[in-house]
Amino acid sequence: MRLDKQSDLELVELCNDGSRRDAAAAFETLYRRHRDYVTRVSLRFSSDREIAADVLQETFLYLLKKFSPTGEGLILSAKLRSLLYPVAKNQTLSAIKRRRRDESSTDFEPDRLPDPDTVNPQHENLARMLSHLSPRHREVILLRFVDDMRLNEISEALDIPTGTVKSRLHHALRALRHRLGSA
Amino acid sequence: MNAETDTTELPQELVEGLKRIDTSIAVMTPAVDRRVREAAAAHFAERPQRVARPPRRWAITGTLAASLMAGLLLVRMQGDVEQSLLANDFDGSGAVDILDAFALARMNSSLGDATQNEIDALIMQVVTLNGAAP
Repeated sequence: MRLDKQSDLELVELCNDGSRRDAAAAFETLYRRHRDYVTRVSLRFSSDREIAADVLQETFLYLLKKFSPTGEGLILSAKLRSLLYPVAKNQTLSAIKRRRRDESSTDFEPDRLPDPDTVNPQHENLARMLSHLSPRHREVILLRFVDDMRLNEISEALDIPTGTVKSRLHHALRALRHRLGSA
Repeated sequence: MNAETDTTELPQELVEGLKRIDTSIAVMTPAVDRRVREAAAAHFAERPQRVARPPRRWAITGTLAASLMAGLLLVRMQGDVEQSLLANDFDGSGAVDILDAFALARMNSSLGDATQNEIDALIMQVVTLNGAAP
């Protein structure tokens, strides 16, 4: 069977105990499948594409280390994206902090959306409304509706209880509706 | 208000809009692609070229079952052969051999019970059991 037809779980299995060639090919397939997602997650927190590229590399090198070179390794208990999301997010926030330290810059805004200049004008209003939400509310809305994660997957990605996810999503939606209503 | 229910209440149009915003940015990463590919190749280099997978449980069970069936079949066939050998001991010598075929032929000529086909079959059986090709 072609690797790109296999599920994440099957590819992770191949990375865990496949031959040298199969494991490397399976890992590359996972990388290509989730490359854009990890990049987008990074760009949700920083519009810096350089940071996004660094985060992409670091996130997958982190994932690679989860697979022992001699076999066994990662046990996937949820979607792979639930694992990749916090890694990409934390790598991005760390990169922003490092850059801020290096440049002593104060004009960055963590948890920001993509630069409005890069957004289709049709969706500019929506992007602007979303940008008015708190970072936590925005994050949970993006995870739920853009990443199509279930509540338990969001819980895993954010490392918070499912009840907190429900509550946060509830408040986020209320805030978004309020913005939509007043727009 | 039920927070669980709320998760499905965002209009589809809005969801599509959110997705389009998020996916509107494409970042080309050829250098990262190459580094990740090289890192993966180096990481898995300690693995053997081909992994000899242990036989699966169902394969072991299947092989055992097939062996058992073959054994039983063999024993049964042997029993059948022995039974038919004794049944064909026409001269009462305790063994079936070519003399039994002659005995059957003699019985046929005197009583007319056995057909020529039965005699031929007995000759064939004796010859085969003695290890010669028919």
